[in-house]
Amino acid sequence: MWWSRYRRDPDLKPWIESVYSQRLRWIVGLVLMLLTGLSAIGLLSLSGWFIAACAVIVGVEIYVPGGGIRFFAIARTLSRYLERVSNHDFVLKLQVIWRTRLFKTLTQRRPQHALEFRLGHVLQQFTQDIDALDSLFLRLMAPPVVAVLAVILVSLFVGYFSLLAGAIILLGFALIIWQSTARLPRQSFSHAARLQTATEQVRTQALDHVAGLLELSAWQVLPRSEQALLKRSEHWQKQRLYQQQHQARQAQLNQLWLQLILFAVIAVSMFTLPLANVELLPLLVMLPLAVLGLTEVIQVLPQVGISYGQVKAAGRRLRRRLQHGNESRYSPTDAQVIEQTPQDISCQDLQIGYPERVVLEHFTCCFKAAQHYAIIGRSGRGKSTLLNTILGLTPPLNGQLKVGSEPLELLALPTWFSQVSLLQQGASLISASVAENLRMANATASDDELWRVLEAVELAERIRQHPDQLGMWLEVDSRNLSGGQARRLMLARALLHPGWLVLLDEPFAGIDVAQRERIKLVIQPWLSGKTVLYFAHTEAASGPVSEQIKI
Amino acid sequence: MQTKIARQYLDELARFFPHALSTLKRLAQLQGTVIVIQMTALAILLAGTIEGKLEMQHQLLLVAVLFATLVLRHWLFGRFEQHASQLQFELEQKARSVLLQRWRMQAKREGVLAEDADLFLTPIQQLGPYFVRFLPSIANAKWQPLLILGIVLYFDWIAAAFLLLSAPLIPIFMAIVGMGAEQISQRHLESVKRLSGLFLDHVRHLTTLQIFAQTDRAEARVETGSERYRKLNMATLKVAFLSSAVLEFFASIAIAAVAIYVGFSLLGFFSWGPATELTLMSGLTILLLAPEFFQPLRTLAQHYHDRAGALAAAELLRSKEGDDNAATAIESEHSRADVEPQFQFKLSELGLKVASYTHQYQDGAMVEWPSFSAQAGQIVCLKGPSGSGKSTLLQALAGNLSMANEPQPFTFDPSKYQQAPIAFLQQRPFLIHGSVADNLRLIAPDASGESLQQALRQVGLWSLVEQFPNGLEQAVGEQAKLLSGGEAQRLALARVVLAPTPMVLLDEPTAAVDPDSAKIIIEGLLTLAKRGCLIILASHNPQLEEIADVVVTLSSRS
Repeated sequence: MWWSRYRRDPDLKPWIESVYSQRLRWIVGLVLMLLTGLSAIGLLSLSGWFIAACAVIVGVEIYVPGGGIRFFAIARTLSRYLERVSNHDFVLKLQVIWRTRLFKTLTQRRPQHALEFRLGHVLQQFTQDIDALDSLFLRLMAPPVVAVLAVILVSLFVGYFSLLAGAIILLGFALIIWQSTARLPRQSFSHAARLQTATEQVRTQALDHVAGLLELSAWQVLPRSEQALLKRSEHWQKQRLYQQQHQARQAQLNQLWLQLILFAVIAVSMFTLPLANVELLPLLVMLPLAVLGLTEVIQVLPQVGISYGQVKAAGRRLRRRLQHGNESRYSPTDAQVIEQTPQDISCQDLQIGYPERVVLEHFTCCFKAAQHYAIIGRSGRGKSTLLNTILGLTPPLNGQLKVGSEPLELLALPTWFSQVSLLQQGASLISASVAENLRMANATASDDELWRVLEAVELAERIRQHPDQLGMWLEVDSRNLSGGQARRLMLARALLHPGWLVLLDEPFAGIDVAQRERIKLVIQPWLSGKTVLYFAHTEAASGPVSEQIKI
Repeated sequence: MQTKIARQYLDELARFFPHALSTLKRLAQLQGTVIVIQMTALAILLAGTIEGKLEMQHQLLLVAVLFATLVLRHWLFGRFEQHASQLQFELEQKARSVLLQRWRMQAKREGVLAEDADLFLTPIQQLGPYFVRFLPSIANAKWQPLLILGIVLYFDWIAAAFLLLSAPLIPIFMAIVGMGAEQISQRHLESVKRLSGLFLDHVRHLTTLQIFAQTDRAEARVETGSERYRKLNMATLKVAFLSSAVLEFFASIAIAAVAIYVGFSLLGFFSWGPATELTLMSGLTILLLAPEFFQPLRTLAQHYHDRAGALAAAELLRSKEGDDNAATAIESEHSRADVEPQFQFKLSELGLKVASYTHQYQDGAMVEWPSFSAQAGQIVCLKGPSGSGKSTLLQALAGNLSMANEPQPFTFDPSKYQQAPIAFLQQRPFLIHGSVADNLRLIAPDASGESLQQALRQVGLWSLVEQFPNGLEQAVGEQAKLLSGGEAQRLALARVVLAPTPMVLLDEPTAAVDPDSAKIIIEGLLTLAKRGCLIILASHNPQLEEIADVVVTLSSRS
């Protein structure tokens, strides 16, 4: 049966367990759902009985049924409203928990993995997959349970009067429920997985298209890119609609069954009930109406099949993401204590790069404490990779790297990071205020300190012009700064960092010569007493150093 | 006001599919009619049997009618779904091409943000249900209750009055609640967009956040973001649920009232009006039809959030003020979609004259561009301090700067320039998620593997690409991880080498590049100039200034 299958399914298990863990919430949700369904059935069938009874039974007692009708009418509205509010709140709470947990897992992975993320992929995971999981309780777990309970109750009730009619209801609806759930279309899962892949492809391609609008437009190839994107989305959308059609077919089938059961119950009641007894005549109306009342709990069932595929596919991907995160977790606790004063950094016959590509071999060098070095080399020679290796992001393929007397791989990365000040090659300003970006490096820096360092990189004037001053908001990709300005802001951030090792990757790229020379000199007070490594493609692009290393 | 614009957008979309829409509406109404017939036949059959008044042949006839309605309902259901899914498909594709058109125009004005890419997926998915669920259910909500009201009126005007009186209350209450729902839903969609922007930003800078020990704060920000999302969501939902609770309440009360009224009439409690003539048959018919009287309204309420969702989505998809309306956008999309780049003119025909011009940014800053002119085959170097508008001038030359209200400072000799492709290499080279070959074929889709290899050789990348496990088909990875800054820049240059354009614009081509790469790039530029390209570049690099035929110095004006 579907229930045990859900529970055994490793893709659904962790999520089902977190639903179970909120016992009170899901029990309340189920009870309210059942109450809603039973009130609807009660209202319809009692009304039918009442009218028929009034017509044919002499001296029928009217006040109890009349009150019952009013009760069911109000109970139905109230329980439905409460059920919806309670269950949606439950599901949304679960989502917050899942979403935060997922992001935490991402931040706990060893940092180099972050470089491998495909943005389209991760974004989809956050939004789509977690959204898909909200069907788990509302569409997948609860409706079949409620339907089964309601069908059992109604068939017992009907069976009390006519065993055959009760059996027809029990068997007929069991078939409907089985069709919609247990006979879960297996292809629904593989289809959902395909759909996810297709969605991701469209998203990635749309991201590329948007990123390249200006260049593609200048090249006059925009129409081609648009056509390609439309074609891709056409394929994706066809898959999406296929699911809907599938669900519609299931609903169509269920409706047909329901009506057949209805007619069968009418026929059976007509022929089997002892209608000579006037007291029983109203049953002829009440029993079919009870069947009609079941429509409400049955009509949500066709969603189960599709939800199963969607939830399973989403659950599987999220589960893998979480597991993968566990394997490569880096723990801040097994920290070797790192000296907070400058240490020598020695590289012994390093081979660095990625498995696909070795970028630097036989690199041997010793960076003395508190000295300034320039590492000069053309791009592709491994400057940035060397920086990432010293930073601990890209472990060396071979050879040894020591900080003081400790091999780097034995150091806990977070502790090591706290000693390293960094200016990376790419943009690394987050969408937040200027002050927040600067204080990433030094949370306790005063406004005065921020202004002083901005002064040094010749940005103070630009930021003073802004009405929000240090609160100036940086847009995504720091679009409201020029390339050179963003670079100088990142330099300012690197200067603020208290760490004793300063890694500067092309610190002056995009800054004109005169300004570069001025800044080089002005920032020296911030760098004295620290070990500084400039990574640059020419001598001129580096600061004043005691030694140059060419790679 | 905002909703008006959004509604306009939806109307314009609807205008493309008049037949499909009216077919859907008619199918919905037909379904409603069949249900009414089925329920009436059922009531007559049941009541007639109980009272024993029905003759055998009438009973058989009614059974036949019931089975006919069963088959009809089944068939209509299938037809409706088939049409609905076809319409949804076409409609959303249409909305996508309108969006692509809007991006074109927007790119030149304020630019398109990366998170806007999501518009292509989620909001457009919200449009379909409005057209294939909400609009047909409105059509049926106008028809089926009227039909039922007519039948009930025929039997008993007091029962009809019960229904009639409760019915108008429902739309009134729902409208009141619905207005709130719409507002909240709009806020909600905006916040979903912001939330996905927050994730994108934080995930992209995950390493930076880790290095600067900011992960705790980032997690807190994500958590508050999600929590805010939940609260907004709940607010929308509560209002939506309340509006359907209002509907259900009135429907239940009306059904109960009708039932009790009919029951009491049959007992003979009322000795006046139509109540005296009520029989079990008419009473049962009324009772069975009463829920169906409200059912279309309930369906409508279920799909009401489709409307709110579609309006909120339309608000985002709708072009900003000043854009042409969607319809003309679609027109021009059709006429321009087929335009392929035309390489048929001679490179040497191009010449450029730039008149001196003061450009004002949106924030009020001004830059001055001096006049200069250049011929095909020349190299122009734009220099000046950072912030002096070099990149902006390049954007203007690329045709990417909207200067609609200002005199055009450029004149190009041949009028053919209008259709000329321009190679435009920005500071951060534009590479797509895909292989090396995908990136090159972006510009020259038909290029053979051989010519790709040739182009890579010329920019000194072939020896590297050759080493990749998958060669040309090697994926360059997220943010081009496999390539250094200089290599990414050279890969972008390889596109120009592969398919030279009359004008080549480069923004800081050697800024993040080593001397050897710079040398290769400079050689490449000289070769391109020799082949007749007009090259304009912005740079601080004195080496580039040396090879330039024309040097233009820009300055900012404060």
